[in-house]
Amino acid sequence: MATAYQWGGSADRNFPPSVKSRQAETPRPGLVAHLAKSSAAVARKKINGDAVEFCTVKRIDNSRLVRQVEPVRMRNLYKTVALGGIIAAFCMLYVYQHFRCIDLGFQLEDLKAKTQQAQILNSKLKLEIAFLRDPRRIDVIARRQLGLTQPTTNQVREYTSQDGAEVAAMQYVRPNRAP
Amino acid sequence: MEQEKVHVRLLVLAGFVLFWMTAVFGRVAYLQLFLHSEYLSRAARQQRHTIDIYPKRGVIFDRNMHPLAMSVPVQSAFAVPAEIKDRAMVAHLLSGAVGMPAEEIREKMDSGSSFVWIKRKLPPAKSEAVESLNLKGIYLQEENQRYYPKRDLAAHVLGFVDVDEKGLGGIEHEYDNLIRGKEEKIVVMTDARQRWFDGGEAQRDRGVNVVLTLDEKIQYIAERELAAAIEKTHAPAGSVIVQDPNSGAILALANWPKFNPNSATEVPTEARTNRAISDIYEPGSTFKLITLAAAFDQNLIRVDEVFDCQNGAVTVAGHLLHDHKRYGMLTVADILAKSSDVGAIKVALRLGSPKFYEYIRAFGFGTPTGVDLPGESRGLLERLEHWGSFSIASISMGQEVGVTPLQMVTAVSSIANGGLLYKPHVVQQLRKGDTALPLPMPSAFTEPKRVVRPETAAILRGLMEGVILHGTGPKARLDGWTAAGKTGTAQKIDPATGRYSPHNVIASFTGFAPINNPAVTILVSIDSPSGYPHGGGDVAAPVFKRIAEQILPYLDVPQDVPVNPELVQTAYQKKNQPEDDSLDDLAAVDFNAQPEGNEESAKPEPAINQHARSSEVLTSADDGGDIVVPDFSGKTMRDVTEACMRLGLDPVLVGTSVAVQQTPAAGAKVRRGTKVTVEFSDTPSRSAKSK
Repeated sequence: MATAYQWGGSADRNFPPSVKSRQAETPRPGLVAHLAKSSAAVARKKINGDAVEFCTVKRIDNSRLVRQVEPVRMRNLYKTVALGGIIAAFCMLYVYQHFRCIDLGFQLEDLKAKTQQAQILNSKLKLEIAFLRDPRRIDVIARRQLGLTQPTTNQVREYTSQDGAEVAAMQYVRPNRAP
Repeated sequence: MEQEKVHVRLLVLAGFVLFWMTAVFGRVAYLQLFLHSEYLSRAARQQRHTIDIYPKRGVIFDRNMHPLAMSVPVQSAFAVPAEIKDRAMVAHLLSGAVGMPAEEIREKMDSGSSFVWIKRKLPPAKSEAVESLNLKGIYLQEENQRYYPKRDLAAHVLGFVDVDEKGLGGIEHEYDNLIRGKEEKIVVMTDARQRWFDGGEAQRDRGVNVVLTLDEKIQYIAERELAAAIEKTHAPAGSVIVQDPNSGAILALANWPKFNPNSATEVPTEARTNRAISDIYEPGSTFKLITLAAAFDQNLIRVDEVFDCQNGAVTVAGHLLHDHKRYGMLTVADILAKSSDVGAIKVALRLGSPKFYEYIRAFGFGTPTGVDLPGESRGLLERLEHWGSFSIASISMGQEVGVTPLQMVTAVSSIANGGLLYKPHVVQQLRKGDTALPLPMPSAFTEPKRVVRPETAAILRGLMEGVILHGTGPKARLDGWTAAGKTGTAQKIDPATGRYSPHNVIASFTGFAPINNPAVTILVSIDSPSGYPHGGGDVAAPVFKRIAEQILPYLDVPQDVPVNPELVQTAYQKKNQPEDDSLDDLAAVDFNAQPEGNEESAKPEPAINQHARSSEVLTSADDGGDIVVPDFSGKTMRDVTEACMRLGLDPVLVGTSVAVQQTPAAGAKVRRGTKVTVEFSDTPSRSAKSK
């Protein structure tokens, strides 16, 4: 609220009473200095001429000021942020995938190495099986350790019909005495 | 003022940060935009490595898919001398791990090469020892090691490989390109620790697997009996071939001396020679089969036709020739059965040289058979225009002509199967995974060639049976099967005199069984058997008998000769070794070259003794048991069980009521724990021996 004051004379005398009273009650250095400067400026002006200048002091209270939001600008801002966020997300995703691929590559190679080790072990076991099935080895075990011998042709009975063979074989089947 | 200072400081800080960020981003931009390609290529050089991939050599199987040769990955140690500072110390440490002298290792490192092999194809224990040393400049590389798990079985057919797995000899050489597979290079990405993180899309090629026509059991039987015959006759060499006459497939091919392909480079070259296909010998009397086959096929002679053998002497083109016995009048059947040289000469003279030569070539002599093995000889047969006046006589009795054992057995197979000459082969199939591949051209199946009429072959089969029944080959007579064959006793040339030696002969027997629908053709050839008698009928015919009597039951060939199956009570082979005998001589799988054990101790007892008694009834021949089996006749099941438990026998009770029959018979001596089968019945006991 502006208050008009009449200026005249020295700065001291021509201070409006409200200003003076304010100065006496609550000395505010900044305002006082400002007013002092203004007064000095006003005073200087007054000294130079007869014009009467009025100085108004605006008391601005912005506490209840509500900033007007510009929808278009805010929309653009949101768009820009979103776009930037997406770009950043893609960049991070790209970097993540890149290093993830490398990490998976390591794991894959580890698994391949394990698979290969298993295959090598499998080959070695097959080799050992083949060695154990060597006819000469089995022959030596059969003859020398188990005391077996080759049956002569007279020891082998041959049956012309399958029925005959089955009947003959049944003679030597132990009956099942399980309860 | 204070506010101004703060403001100034903030401005300075902001300016510094801005400057720093500008520098950083500027540098990044510079690197990314201007030096991108340079750093990209540098990274590629560091991370990318080209690796040579050597495919695993294919497996060689027998006809029943039993592996005879296979490759297993092993580690080989190599050094990069430039990376080794203290070579003496490294050599000393390595010598203990790899089992080499330190001086030898040091010498390799000082050779000036940037890459030197320390030891290739180390066994797992040694490679682990090298790896545990963790020496700078010493690395391990995976390679494949070829193993032959059956050791010397079918060694001449399989062949062997060198240290680089290149085939040398046998199937390994003949099919080396296919078995080896294709080498390829792959690009891999590695990190700073040389760990792979991108192994590339390697298509690891595998070599082709080869399936042979050999049967490992038949092969073993052939080798065992050949070894026994060699030992008995003290002969330096011999061969046995078993062939399927209906297809030409080789079921077994055994040579003596033999070798272990796992250590092939340590044996003399002569031991690696496949005599069955490369050695030429004069077939002797066996060649009379060809003479008579040609004459019969030309309808020039009859079976019952009689020839005058002139008391064992004949003059041809001014040369007097004596028969091995003074024969008078012989039928054609007897000429073959008794192996009369004079008779054969007279038949050949009736045939004539041109026709005779034509039939000899038709039977495959004088040309390679085309078997899929390397080193085959074509034999020795002079062209007809180079025949002398006496050649027809010599050749008719198997001299002045050189044949290989394979040519001979193939020719006899043609008589066995009705007159068709099949190409002998040892490769049955090529496989890659589960896919069968076509055989390459020389090995591909070819249609058989007819050499004689079926009627001629039938006549010859009958005559060859006569050789065994009442001729020179009675020792080849089989128990349970009919058989046909021809003996041969060919004199060798004495290199000192250039004449035939009366002592050194090649004793052979070639035959097949059974006569009707023959299953196998077997050739046995013993080179220079010592002692007397040393003819084919005495030395080779028994080997034929032993081999055939083992192979025919294995092949489930039904017997065509009724035999009297005497019930054998017990038959135990006398043990020659102490109870605690072990298989120490048969070493476990050693992934280094498997050294041979003591051949003497590892050799199984020849089957000569038991087969010589084949016509006898064997009863209670046990020499190792000390428990006498009691007589259970008429006893109850309880009594039988109690008696067996008391004696330490294992009762097997069949039926009910009282015991009527038992196996082993009463009085037999058996070992503790032997199974005793006792039959029970309500009916009175049957005869103890079923006839």
